[in-house]
Parts: sequence; structure tokens; C-alpha cells
Amino acid sequence: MNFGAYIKSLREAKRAEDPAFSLRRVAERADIDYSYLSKLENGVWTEPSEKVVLALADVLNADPDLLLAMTGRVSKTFQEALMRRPDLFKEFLRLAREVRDGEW
Amino acid sequence: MVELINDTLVFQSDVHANAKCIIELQRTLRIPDDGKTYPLPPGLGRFPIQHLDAHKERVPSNWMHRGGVITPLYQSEALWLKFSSAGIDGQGRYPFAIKVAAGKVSAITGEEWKPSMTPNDYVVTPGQPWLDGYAVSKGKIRQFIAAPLGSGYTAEEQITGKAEFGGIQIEVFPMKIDVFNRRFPYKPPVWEAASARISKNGGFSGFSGGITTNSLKAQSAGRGPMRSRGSAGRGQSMNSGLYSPQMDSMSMDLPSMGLGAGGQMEQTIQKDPFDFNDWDTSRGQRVFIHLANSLVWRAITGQEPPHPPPTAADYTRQGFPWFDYYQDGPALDGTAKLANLKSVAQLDQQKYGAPVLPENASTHPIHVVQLGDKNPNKIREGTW
Repeated sequence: MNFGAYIKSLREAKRAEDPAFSLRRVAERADIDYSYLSKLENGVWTEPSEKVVLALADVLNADPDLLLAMTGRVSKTFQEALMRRPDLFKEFLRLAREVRDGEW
Repeated sequence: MVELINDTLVFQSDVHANAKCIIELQRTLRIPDDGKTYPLPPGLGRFPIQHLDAHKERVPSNWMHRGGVITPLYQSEALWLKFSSAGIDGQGRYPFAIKVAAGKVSAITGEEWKPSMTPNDYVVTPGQPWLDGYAVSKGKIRQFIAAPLGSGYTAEEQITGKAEFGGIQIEVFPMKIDVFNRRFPYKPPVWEAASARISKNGGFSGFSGGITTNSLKAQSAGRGPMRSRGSAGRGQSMNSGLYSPQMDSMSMDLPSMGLGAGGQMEQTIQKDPFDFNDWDTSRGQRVFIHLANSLVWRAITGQEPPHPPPTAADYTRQGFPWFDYYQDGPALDGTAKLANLKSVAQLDQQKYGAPVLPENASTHPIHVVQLGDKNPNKIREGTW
């Protein structure tokens, strides 16, 4: 899933319970234009600034490290964690790539 | 362990660190279902594949229960499976037996899915580079084409009478490690030998040693000669009338897509060149590939499916190549169960009294590229 689709799915899930998460109101709180947010969500714009990503993470109560990574950036927190535990990186990739088998 | 890496399924066996079987789903033309037998159509690039678990909230519970991955297909779109395996330095490519089923019906025998493997219900890589459809008779297959489950078109429904599973099922078995070491003893890698052998389109001759892991990785990644079929026609901008949005919305409420039988194509299913006991049946690894029509794919992943492929007629008109692949060695005969499968066009005729399948006009491939042992570009090696 890409950045736009991810924030759209987060926002829409929240909006189903709370109208404060409409496109316009989320854009307002993140201090960006609603048309820009719409373009981000629909993948028209794909490279928001770090400031915009962090503002959206804050408004949507999302993990800022994850949102930054989805836009191709690595946060300082993530970088530090990786330097402390480089051994876990391979394990993370394995887990992320592994295809789960079920019952059939 | 089965991993999904760059839209490719990688079956990593624990018999050896480099024992990896690599399977791709290739986009392709749908060949006309007109009673003629066609050569091999090109590969138009890999289908996107995603983890089912990445979309837990939007995936039906019966899909989640089966696990696996998901890929998008337009209704009536065709596909083929590409097989390869990684190499072991000094010993050649590691052999794997691969079972392929659609709707839990074997594409090789037409039998319903059984755990483990039985003689002649699988293909072997290296040796069998691809599979384009149901093996209906010796040297002939009927192309896999997507059909909504419940419509009566899939092989699963025709053979089992039920519309239960859909999708594609794959199980991969490695050769026993002691058998591999006995059959393919280590020979020190020689670069020149490796280069020469790689040009043989992945035949068994590659086994006799000298292939480096890196060169085989390059080959499996699509830069090697096996890819000559896969890269043809890539990047073209032809439109197709194949896709009909109405057809997709009709199937939106259906739980899954399955594979029906399309037009006839020349393709040999090679017999297992090894002994049945050479396979390590205790180390099977399997995956369920769910097929989603374009609307379901969008709803689940939030992404657009690839652009519909061109029609066979448009492709041929542009002068793009078709392929013929010849390889020596015994072939499987095909079974009565699969020979009796009705194609989508035949079922249309039965149901509606007229062909309904869109873009099914006959075409006449003129530019056919020879691959395999009859490849005219292959340089003959003498004795010296």
C-alpha cells in the first residue's frame, strides 16, 4: 500500500465514527489545502514534505516513522533503533516477505 | 518458507541455502478460442502480487482463512506461470517438482488436489520453463483465462461440480539433497563454461556444473535468454477491447475468480527426467494465489490494476513476435479429464447459442520466434 492510499484509509475509517475527519477538516488541522490532501490521497502528488507528513501523522494519530518510511524517508528514531539492533533488520525483512499459508 | 519479493514467489527450501524455486505470474495476450492451435504468446511483464495479510480489514474471511497472496486479473484475461530455480555454485540449478492447480484441480492431470505429490502430477524446473494452461493432450494446452467463480466456466466447476475455491494453488518440492549431490557432483566453477551453458535456455544441459549463483539470479530476474519470450512487446501502447467494465461489476459480489480453459496452444509438458523417489515429499511448500477482478483489487488494495493487455489480433497486426519452444525429451500425454474440458467459447455457444467472449477474432501469427533446441540463432558447438 502506498502513502496516499494508507492515509486515505486511515482518515476514512476515522470519519466513519467522527465527522471531524472529513477531508476538509483534516486538511485544516494539518495546515494544508484540502485539494492538496485530496491529491496526496489519490496518488497525484507522492512526495509531501516531512513537515506535512508529520502534521498528518499527528492529526490522524498515526505512527510518524511509518508514514515517513512510506514516503521514502527514514526517521531519526528509526535510524537510531536500526543502529542499536542491526541484527533485527534481516528478521524484519523475512517477516515482511513471508507468505502465510492457511487451510485449504 | 515462501517469500514474496518484487512480485515474485520465492520458495526457499531448507535442504540448501541456495535451493530456491522462483515462480512468476506473467501477463499475456488471450489467444483466440477458435479451434486453431496457436504458438506461445509473449510475456507482458509480471502481475502485481500482494500479501493477503496486508489487507486484513478488507479481505473476505474465507480468503484470510486460506492465507497466501492476491493478484488482479480482468475477467477473461490470460496468464502464464514462469518457473526457474537458483543455482548452487559448481553444481547447477537446484531441481524442484512443482504442482499447479486452479480451484484445487490439477492443471496437469485434472485430478482434485491431494496433499503431497503423485507420479506425473507436477512439472520439473529446470526443464519446464513455463505453463500457460491446462494440459489437454500431448503437446497441447488450453490457455488459463480468468472467469468468475460460480459462472460455470472454470475447470473446477466443470470437474468437481462445485464453485468452492477458485484461485491458483502451487506446491513445490525440492530434490532430496543427497540425490542432488549424487546426480550433480561439485565441479569447480569455470566462467567460460557458465556463459556457454546459460545460453541454452534453461535446459537440463545446465546441470553439469559451472553456473554461478549471480548469473542465475540475473537470469531469473529477467535479464537472461529465458526472458526473450517475456520481454517481447513490453511497453507498447495498444488499447484493448478485452476489458469490459460491465463484466467486472457483474462479478463484484462474487467471492473469487477462477481459471477457465481458453484457446488451444502448442506447449509440451515435459515428463519428470528423474526418479519419483528423488523428490523430498516431506518438504513441500505451498501457496494459495487469490484472483481478484479489477474492482475487487481496487477495493482491497486501493491501487489500480495494470492496464488491460492488447488483443491477440492487435498484437499480431503490429508485427510483434509469437514464440515456439521445442525441447527434446519425453512429454506427458494429457488426461481424459482435461481433454474433456469445455472452453469458455464452447460453453458460451452452449449457453447462449452464440459466442459471447469479446475480442475473440482469429489471428495469424506470422512472426514466430523459435526458442529452445531448434532456436536458429543458437551457435552449434563442435568437438574440440
